[in-house]
Amino acid sequence: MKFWQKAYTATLVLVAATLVLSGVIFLQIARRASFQAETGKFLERQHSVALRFTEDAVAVLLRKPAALAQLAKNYEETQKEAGTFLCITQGEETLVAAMPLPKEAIPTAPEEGQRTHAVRTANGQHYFVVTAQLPIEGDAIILTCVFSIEPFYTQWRETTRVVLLLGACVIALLALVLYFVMRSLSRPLEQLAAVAQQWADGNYAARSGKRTRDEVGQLAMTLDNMAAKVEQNVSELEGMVEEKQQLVDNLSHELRTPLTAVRGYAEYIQRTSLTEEETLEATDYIISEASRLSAMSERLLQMATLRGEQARRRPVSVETLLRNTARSISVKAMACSVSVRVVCPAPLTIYGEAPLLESLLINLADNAVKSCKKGGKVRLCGEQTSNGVRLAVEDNGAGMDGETLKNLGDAFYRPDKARSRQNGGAGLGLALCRSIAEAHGAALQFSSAVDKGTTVSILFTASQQHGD
Amino acid sequence: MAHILIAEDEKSISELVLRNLRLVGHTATQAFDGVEALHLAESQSFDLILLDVMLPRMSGFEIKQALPQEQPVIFVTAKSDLSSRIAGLGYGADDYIIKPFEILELLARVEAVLRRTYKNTAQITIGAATIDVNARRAYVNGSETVLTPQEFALLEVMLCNRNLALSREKLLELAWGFDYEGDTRTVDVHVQRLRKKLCLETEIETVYKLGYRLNSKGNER
Repeated sequence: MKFWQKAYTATLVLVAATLVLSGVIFLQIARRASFQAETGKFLERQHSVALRFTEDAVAVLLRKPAALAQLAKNYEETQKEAGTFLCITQGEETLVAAMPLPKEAIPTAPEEGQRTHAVRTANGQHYFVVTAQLPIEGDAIILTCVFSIEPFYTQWRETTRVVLLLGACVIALLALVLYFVMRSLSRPLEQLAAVAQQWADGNYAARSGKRTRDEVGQLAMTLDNMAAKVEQNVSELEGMVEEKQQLVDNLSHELRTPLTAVRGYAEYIQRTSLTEEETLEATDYIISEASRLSAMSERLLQMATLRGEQARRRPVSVETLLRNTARSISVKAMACSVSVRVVCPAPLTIYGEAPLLESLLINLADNAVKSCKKGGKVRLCGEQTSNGVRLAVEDNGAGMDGETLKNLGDAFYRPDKARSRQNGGAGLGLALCRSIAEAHGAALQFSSAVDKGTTVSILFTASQQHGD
Repeated sequence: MAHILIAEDEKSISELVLRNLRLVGHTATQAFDGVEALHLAESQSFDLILLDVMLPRMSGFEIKQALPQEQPVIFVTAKSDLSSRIAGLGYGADDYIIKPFEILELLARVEAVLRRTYKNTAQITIGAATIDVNARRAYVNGSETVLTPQEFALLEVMLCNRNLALSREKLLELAWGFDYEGDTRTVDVHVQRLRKKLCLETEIETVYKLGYRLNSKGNER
């Protein structure tokens, strides 16, 4: 059953029950009061009749006892005109008994001077019977008054009927009004439920919109916030998944091409009759492609093991580091007619792992040399700044634009979309540099302008120096 | 003998494909980026273009769209996912081959596309024998020699891969099919028969430890 139906039914039933219960109780109380009032009147009447009769009876008994019957008859007639039926007995003898009730219906008279009363029915009519034994000496004289109390009952039947009818109308009205009230109260909930269903279906952009200011409204607002968060998370995750997919795609391309070459040339040599020169060319290709594969897997391995790990902290001389880098790159630099200079005025020390740091610097220096034209200049600098030790690789080569700068350090990213190899490398170098820098708690920073050159700097902060 | 354009930016792969195509009797030209490839395709007439999807300056897909629809194209790429393949074939490519590939597979697909587009060589002459590939007939010094279907199948395989040594297992796979349960001796028997019937004793060479090779200097029309 739906919520509003439950609330509606519960309220209606409760109100109806309460109404009926209180109605019944009220009616009972009122009826009793009314009965008391009504019978009170009768009792008074009986009392006055009994009193007068007693006086008269005493007087008659003194002078002429045989006239009691006549007295009784007189009273009976007078009283009958007033609507009261009398039954008077003297000992075993009945003097007057013109009443609609059979004699057996009369309750037993109590002690002298006492009276009892009861309600008796006859022929469908109700009668109020009051019996009393008169305080007269001699044979017991019992006076019974019978009043018709039927009007009381009739009236009460009517009253009850009216009250019931009224009650039914009230409940019907309540049912109607309550229905509309409940529906309108539960409407916000239904709307909220509809929006929630949208979220469940994956549409996180849905919002509950205009709200009331009650608990439901609160709930709606909170849920909206939650949906916004979820939407954000989902798109972040989707972004990450796409990135991963890109990475895998790129990796597969990078690996598959050299593999095709290696296998292809080997098969070629086997199957074909070649000249010595042709064989030499083919084997050259095999060797160079295999080296490429090897370098790439080496880098990937390094990146994988570095991820999250911190490098060991050993003192490393900055000057030695820079000079080693310059030496490693010298052959390539000379072949490209690019000059490499080390600028390190003061003896500085940083803490880290020398081979990793060298790898990092060689990578950067290599990129720098590649970006320079003939006669270009590359500088390897080490200096003390207020924040810590700063290492930098500067070149005056081709530079990079804003778009490229944004994506640097993403594994496999290369500015040239077709990933051509003429400019060398698979784009893993910078991602590796970033990993190494992170492992040392240092940050890589790039600044570049197209055709002006690039500067890559790494800052080793004092806290890092102390091996935090 | 078909004239084929190799659009591949990886020099080593491009060289590899070039040499193999030449071996089996085709001529080829190389292009190393998209713009060059499109330019060559438009200025010369090629029977088939081997198009790498990821080329610098212009992608293989873009080039295919710029070319006339009837130009036979085979996409070559490392992107093996389903959506790329569907996209590739959706662009109207005749085939789609994924790296790393076996050279023999590439040659077979090239041959298949050429046959479909009727650009394959109708007649091949090796030594004294002339083979009409489409009519499936062979002639020695002008008069017809009857070959059994299996013999012709083997001959076709060897022609498609001429100047390349093929192992007995490979020949069995290519000419008899993957399901064949027999042993490689049947290859030897059939090779002998071909040698005899077509007078190709010198041309069909037994390669030490490898298999057989059909040598030809490439005189086809």
